[in-house]
Amino acid sequence: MDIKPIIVNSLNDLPEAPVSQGVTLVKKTGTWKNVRPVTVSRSAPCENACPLRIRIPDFINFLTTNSDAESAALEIIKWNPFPTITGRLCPAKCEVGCNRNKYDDKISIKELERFLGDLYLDKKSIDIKEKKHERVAILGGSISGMAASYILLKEGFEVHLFLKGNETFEDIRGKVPEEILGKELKILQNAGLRLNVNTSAKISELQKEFKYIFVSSSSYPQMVSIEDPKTGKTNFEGAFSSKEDQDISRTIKNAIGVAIYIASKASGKEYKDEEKLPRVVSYKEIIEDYFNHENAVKEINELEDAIKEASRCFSCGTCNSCGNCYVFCPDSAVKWVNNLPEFDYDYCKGCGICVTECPRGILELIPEK
Amino acid sequence: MSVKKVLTGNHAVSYGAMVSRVQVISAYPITPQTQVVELLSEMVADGLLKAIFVNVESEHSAMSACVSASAAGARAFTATSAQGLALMHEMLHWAAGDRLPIVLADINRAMAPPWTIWTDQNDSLSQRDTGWMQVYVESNQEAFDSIILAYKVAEQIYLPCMVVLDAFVLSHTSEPIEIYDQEKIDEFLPPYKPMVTIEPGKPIGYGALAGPDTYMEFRYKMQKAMEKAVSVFEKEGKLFGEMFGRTYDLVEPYMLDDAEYVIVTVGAVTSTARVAIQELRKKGEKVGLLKLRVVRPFPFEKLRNILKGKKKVAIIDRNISFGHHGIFYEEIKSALYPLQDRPIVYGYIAGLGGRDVTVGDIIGIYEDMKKRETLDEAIWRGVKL
Repeated sequence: MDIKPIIVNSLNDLPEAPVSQGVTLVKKTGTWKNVRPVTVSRSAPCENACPLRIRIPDFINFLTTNSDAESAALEIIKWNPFPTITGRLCPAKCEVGCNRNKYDDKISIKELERFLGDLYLDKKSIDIKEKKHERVAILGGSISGMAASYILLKEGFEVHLFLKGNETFEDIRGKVPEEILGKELKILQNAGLRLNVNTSAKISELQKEFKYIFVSSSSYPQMVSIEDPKTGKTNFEGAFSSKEDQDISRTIKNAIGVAIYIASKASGKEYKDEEKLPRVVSYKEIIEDYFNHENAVKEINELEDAIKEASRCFSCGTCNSCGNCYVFCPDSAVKWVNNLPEFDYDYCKGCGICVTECPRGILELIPEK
Repeated sequence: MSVKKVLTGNHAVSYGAMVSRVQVISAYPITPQTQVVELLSEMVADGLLKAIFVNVESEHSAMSACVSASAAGARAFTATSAQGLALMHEMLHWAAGDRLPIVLADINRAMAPPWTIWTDQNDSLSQRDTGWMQVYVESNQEAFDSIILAYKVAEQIYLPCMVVLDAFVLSHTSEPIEIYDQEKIDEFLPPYKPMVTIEPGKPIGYGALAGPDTYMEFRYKMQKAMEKAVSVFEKEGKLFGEMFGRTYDLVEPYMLDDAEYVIVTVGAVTSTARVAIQELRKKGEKVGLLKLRVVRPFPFEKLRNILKGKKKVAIIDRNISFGHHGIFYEEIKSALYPLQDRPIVYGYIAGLGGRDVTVGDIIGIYEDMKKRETLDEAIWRGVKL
């Protein structure tokens, strides 16, 4: 676009009417501002309440923006190996924290998770990062042993699972349909899990063959004692175990944490604590005016139900491309790039309307230097 | 083929707008104007006129809608009176400053308080300096013709134009009107071409900031456009005569060739004055009439050529500039000042707030002027002292 300034030396340099002859973009009105809007990192109460830290607004937005159930399921699996199981058994603290409780009714997050987990189960596979030579023994097939197996397979280990009897997922049998548990096991086996049934394995024997051993504490309650809950180190060299909890998601999270520690130890990489989520968006920061009261969908059987329920989500702290900032900017200084806002500071005067009208607290005004 | 209809002044204006094929009409009702837009809204509803009728909550918004429509390239029309015109004031400046050829019919109504609905010229003359052209008409036919002419001139020089007619005397009085063949009107008045085309996606500022380095130049251009409008009014008035049989100039002399004394009128009172002149002529008085039709742009040269060498001139003002005197008196007197053989000029304030100005009143004004020897300012006629 031609944005050359007009220089007036005589009457002829001016138009007949006071109409700008070039585009008005020649005046960079952004120089007037003393504050500027920025996108800030914020989190939702649901994801903060979730022991697995599933990025709930992210997976919900795959449903609302593109009706993309597969990406939504993959987003959950990134944080949680077994949505089919937690979707049935988790106490769902996420729903307790949901800001929508204060408006009408919480989002059915757990039911969404179950639906997506089931929907994707037949396509699910473990994407192995890099094959390692180390062998790991998992003692016991409770949920913590299964979760540790999942992560260690993913990390490329050769994983041997030793069972007392012949049952995996032994602590949740009867609570989740057999068919589903069968499919989950098959997925682990497809990734290389070696099953040893009816064993009476002892740590001292296993230590000779395996550099790392993970003991499932509900399967073998007395075998080891955990000395450091974060890394899972026990009183046996090379043996690890994780704490189990009434909250199944907490149990899975603990097992994942220990498995990741084992992987970092094996690769000689430094083990890092999980990053904290940014500040939570409170209900006060949600602009109710942009939402309608709608009944929650409590049972989700079709993708349509899932999208309907997902669309009730406030998406606290996560941009869901609602476009308010773009629509309300009086200076067209909010550009819309790849379905997200981008600020054109050459023309933004710092009025803050975008910040005021963001229904989910993602924008903030910061002083100009 | 042209047809004749018996129409009130208000409806003559509506028909004028219809045959001018206006595209956007926005107005707010006010007595005595309401019938103008009432009929236009019916014409739009009945499909006789392909236009958008924008309902608004005030005259300020009505003119705002016209400004936007005209800037977007539509031929825009509105009509109002008195307080309504006053409420439009800010946007009248906007229309003129943006050089938008909007046409407005003002049905002259005196300003309140005291509350009134009857005619005088103070409402339109309060808007004299907004940059609008002003045409004052004598009859309903002239009102109809002047709407068409107003668009023809306005769209050439890019300034808005007010067509002004007296409340009730014209607005609510029926006269036969000749409505010309639409094809011929279309030939006379081609579609409006805006000076600047607004394109979505290419943002430009309309009426944007002009600092001290450029503001004056825009004002100079407006003045030059007004000056040019004198010749455009003359040219188009002649062409109108050739096509439709009625020629219009900025001024119209009546029995002036051998006259020593002149009465100057603006608006419907002109028709009454014609009768007074005829009666005085029968008595052998050397008196003539000058009708001032277009007051912005002001026809300096034409007035000087007609009035130079006359003995005395009486100007009838249906208006008053408080603390000064009649506005046309001020303007005509100052226009004559450069002449060597300038006449003596008297100003008569008459007919405010709709009081009748009769043939007898005008004969009285003539007799007063003829015998008066002192140079008095603001002579009031008919006040109950």
